[in-house]
Amino acid sequence: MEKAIILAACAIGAGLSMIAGIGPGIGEGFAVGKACEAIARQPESRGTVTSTMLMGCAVAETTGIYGFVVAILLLFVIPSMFLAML
Amino acid sequence: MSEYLDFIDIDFWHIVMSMGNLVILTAIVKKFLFKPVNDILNKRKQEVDNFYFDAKETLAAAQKDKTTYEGKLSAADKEAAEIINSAVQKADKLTQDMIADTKEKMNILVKKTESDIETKKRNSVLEMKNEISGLVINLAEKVVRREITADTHNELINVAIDNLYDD
Amino acid sequence: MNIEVTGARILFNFCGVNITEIQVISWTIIFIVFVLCRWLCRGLKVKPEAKRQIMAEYIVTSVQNLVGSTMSKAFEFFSPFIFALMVLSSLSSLSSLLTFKPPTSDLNTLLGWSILVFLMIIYYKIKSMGFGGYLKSYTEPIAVLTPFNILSDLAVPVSMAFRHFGNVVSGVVISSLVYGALASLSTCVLGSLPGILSQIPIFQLGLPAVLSIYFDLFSSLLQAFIFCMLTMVYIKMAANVEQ
Repeated sequence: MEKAIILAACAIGAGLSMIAGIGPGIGEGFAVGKACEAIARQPESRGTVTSTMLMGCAVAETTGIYGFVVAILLLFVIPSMFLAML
Repeated sequence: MSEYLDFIDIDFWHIVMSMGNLVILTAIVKKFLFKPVNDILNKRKQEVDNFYFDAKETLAAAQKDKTTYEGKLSAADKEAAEIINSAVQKADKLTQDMIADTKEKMNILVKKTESDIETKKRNSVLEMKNEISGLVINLAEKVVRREITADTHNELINVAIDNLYDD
Repeated sequence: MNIEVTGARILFNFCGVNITEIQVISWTIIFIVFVLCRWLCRGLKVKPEAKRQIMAEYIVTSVQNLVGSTMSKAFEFFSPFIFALMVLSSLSSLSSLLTFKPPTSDLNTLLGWSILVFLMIIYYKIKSMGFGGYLKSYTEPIAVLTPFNILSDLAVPVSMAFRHFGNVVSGVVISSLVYGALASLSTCVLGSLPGILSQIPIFQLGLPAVLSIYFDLFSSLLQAFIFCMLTMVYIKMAANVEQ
């Protein structure tokens, strides 16, 4: 019973932690949209804009990655830890 | 032995080892890639600089030569122009002299001719006078022989003597 | 079907320290880079004849230009470190293409690198404003914010390590999930066939390559680049250099 509760709670927690994926999605969408505008306005600066955008996107992705790491921990690491504690 | 670490298993020695790996790789890259390549790049830069320096020196020398030759060339030009000028002047002078000479000679000749003509004219007038006077005398003698008398003869002589004085 | 997400495999124990496969892979990468450097720099000439010399010069000058333009000309001595970081990170991530466990999917490796960067940041901060000034900078703008300043400083290595770690691990985990799913799909479809034919995982043939291109090639190279860029920016900010 406790095992089932732990596993269920971990699964629910993993699902909830992936809500963190919303933020980077919206933010990167903004960034890419602005980059498209910039390229449309100045097509000659395409290379710089693209590399800067990728860099910024990768940095903005960090929070989403944190959520993902937490989800992975909850799915694969923490259940075994708690189950070992029981 | 086929054991696994945990998914997230923070281990001090592993951290130290990864740091050491990075430092070792940095040292390797620095010693075996960056240093020799930078040495070569610097050497090449030095060589190119030297090359440029040499080229500049050669260019300066060439320009110096050019200026000297140009100076020489302009001097030669000037000299030639002077020579031509002087030659032209000489020729002008010569011509002028010759013209003046010729004119003088011509004048002299003309004068001489004129005086010759004058003298000849006078001579011929004198000759003509003489001839005419001889003729007149002959004629007069003939006339006189035919109709002269002693009186008229004297009168005539007197008139002739008067005329003579008058002349 | 059972998917295990574990850490690195322990190969042997040396004086109480577990030597895992990622250490061996890291050493192999270092050895490969060493051999490559020796090969690239063999017979350098002032007038280059070999293609490899041009390649070596291109690598060196482009890394120096990147460092010079991101930090400053005075920090060009950092370029070997940046290049080593970039090569180690990208080759580690790319080793997953050869079905090894990439060293960058182990948190210890990335924590080691980011802690090294963190130590450099502290060194340059102390160098630029003195030890007293460095301690004082934590109490700015007011003394109450000291714990938050310390936390935000500590967040730098942790966020750097976890960013890279998360990106690589997400690739590894999703790849293993996809492989597991495709294997079970294969057994579902071909399971009724007799003998060895039921074991052929035909669906694993082409599809994971698409994922691999994103997670292994694009994402890992981008993360290596970002790790280097962040390192340069943080150190430049710490050293307070004028462009």
